[in-house]
Amino acid sequence: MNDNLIELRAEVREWLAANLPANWRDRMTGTDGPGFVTFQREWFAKVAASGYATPHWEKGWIGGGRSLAEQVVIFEEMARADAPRLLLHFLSLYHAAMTIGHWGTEEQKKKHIPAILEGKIWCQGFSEPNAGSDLASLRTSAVRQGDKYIVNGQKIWSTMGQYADWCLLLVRTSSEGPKQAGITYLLVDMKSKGITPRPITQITGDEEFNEVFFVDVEVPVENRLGGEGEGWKVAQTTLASERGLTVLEFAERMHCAIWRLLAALKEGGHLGDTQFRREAVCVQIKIEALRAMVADSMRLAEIGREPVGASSMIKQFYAATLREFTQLGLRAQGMTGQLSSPLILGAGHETGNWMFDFLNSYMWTIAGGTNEIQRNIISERVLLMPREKMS
Amino acid sequence: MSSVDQSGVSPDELGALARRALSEQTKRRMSYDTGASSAASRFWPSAAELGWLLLTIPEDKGGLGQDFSTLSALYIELGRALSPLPLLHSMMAVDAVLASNSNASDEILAAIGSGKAILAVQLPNCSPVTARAEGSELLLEGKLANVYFPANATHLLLFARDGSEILVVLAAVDNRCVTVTARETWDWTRELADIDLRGCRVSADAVLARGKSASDVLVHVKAHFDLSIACDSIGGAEQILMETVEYSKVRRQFGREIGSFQAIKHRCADMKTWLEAAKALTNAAIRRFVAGEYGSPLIGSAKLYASQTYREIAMDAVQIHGGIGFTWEHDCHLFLKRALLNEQLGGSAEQYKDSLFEPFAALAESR
Repeated sequence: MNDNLIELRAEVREWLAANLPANWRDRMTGTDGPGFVTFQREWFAKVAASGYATPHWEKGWIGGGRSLAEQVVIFEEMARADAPRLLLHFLSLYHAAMTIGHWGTEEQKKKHIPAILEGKIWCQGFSEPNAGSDLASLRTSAVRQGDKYIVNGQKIWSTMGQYADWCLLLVRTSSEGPKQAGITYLLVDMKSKGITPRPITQITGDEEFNEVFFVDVEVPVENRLGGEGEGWKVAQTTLASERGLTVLEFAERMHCAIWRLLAALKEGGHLGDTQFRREAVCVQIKIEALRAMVADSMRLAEIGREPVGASSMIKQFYAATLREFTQLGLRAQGMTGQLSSPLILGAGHETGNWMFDFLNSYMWTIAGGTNEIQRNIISERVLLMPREKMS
Repeated sequence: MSSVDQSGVSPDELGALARRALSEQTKRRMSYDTGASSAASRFWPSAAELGWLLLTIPEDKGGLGQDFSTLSALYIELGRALSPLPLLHSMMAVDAVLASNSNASDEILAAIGSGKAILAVQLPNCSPVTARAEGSELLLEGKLANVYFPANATHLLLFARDGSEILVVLAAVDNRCVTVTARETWDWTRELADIDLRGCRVSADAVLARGKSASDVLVHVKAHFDLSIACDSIGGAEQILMETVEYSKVRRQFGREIGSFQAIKHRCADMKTWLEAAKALTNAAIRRFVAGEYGSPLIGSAKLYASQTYREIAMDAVQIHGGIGFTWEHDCHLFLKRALLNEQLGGSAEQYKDSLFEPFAALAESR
């Protein structure tokens, strides 16, 4: 192992020992929205100041320019210390920062990227009630009026939309030609007049997602990201950041949470049960395979050679593995798992509330392109099988 | 002429060269036409000439000094070609000889490297035979049932037990005391046999290692075995998946290619995903092996997961091909049978899982 990695590991570990609030799980167990937001902001401010929130950013930004191996070390240490996830600022740090960094004008970058570090919260307005897997059929419209767009429509599944300052919004500026061609990407101030977010209560009881309504919302043309009609292309950067970098953190988190699974086996009295033991091994093997896939793809991405469809395969495999992991933990609990227990907000996908974790795992087989859509992508773009008929 | 020069060759390059050599000089069905050992013998001199048998022998011992990551490319290609070549046995023996540091090593390495010695290695999951010292000799007794055994082997590498001590023994196959009974198998690309050692006397020099050092050799050879089967499985799985996908693009029913139906596409997409997962896992495990971490649970995991994935892909291949896949004439079953054997060689999936639980639990605890 490389010396600077060992040093970094020690440094992160030391930082966590000094800065991780010891009682954060208790504070977040059964908390409400405002309690969650207050805590997330406090934690984000600390992590951002240390540079550990932005190892994937370019060199020059605080903490930026870290190699893949260094990023893994940081994620590993955060996971190992059972640190809270940066859930509230997640989309800002990844989706928003990566997309604006890639497509933004100098003014847009100057305005938004430092603001993300200061804690501005972004949400994403992509999906609509009738444009889920078929995202390109979205209908929220933006009509140009002088130096403004007037936006009308409805978005759904906006993570943390109820707390967001800004929104990455996909709108339709034209219905001519192929449906992808009429899409434009806007950066929208959530305090604009005419925007109403409404939290959606999920199958877990949690309210992470929102519907967002837009009625005659005025968006300055200078807030357009990329050209008019280029929105689909720009959106691919957002989606790619979701499937690539973020899975790295998720894979490390699941890897470091294996002890929770073993603890569930122990508490359920199954440590000597051959069936449970074998299933636990199968899950651990898949987690190792997932980590290896993510690491391989990141190594290739670093040298600019990302194989077609790799992110779809990784996302699909992650989702399936998380389902298996959480389902096994829930089964190990037996009847205890059927008793409702308080949620632990911001604790990631492996909170140890196994019913919550299991139900929440559907997020990953559905959001960001369902597993079925990933299979279409893999079969058509990687295996070059005949395409579905498209409308 | 050697395809591997002293400066080394990347696994990708070696894989491409091996693929060409195998497709030019061998046929997929040759084991089914002439039997595995006869087909393997025909290609053996070429394998030696190509430098394959020298690959992992150190340069100062006349070899090419490559590590397992290079060798893995050959295993993948042998799997892809459904080759009967028992390269694995000779290469496991090279590792065993090098790891045990015995005096006789140079001579036997030269014989392996030139192809003169054809090795049969007792797979590490078989119970050891018994050994008893008698003067300057060692008396070996024992039976091994259904073992993967190249029929024309000249040398045997055995794991024996003398009381509580494990020995690694390398002996020439002596027909007077070693009875090899070939067993007919479903997979014709590999040969299984029952081995009966009855009062087999070998010189004490035949002991390559004993005690702790023999146990280390055992772990090392097992790791080599696991990774070779993982690679073989990846090569076979990649090939049959590709052939299945290609078939689905030309076979038409209801006026369209069957590969345009989601029922087919989604299965192929899943298979591709599992295959990529198996490859990534195997490569990660190979890095552990190269780093000398022969006991890493990733290594057994790679064998288990890759062979399971191969079997699942080969099963689906028969189904997706439909009626033609059910015929002897079509190649689907050749892959399926090799996959089924790969999954059992070295121990069942259940045995692997049972042996992996504790090491994984220990890792989780140490984090």
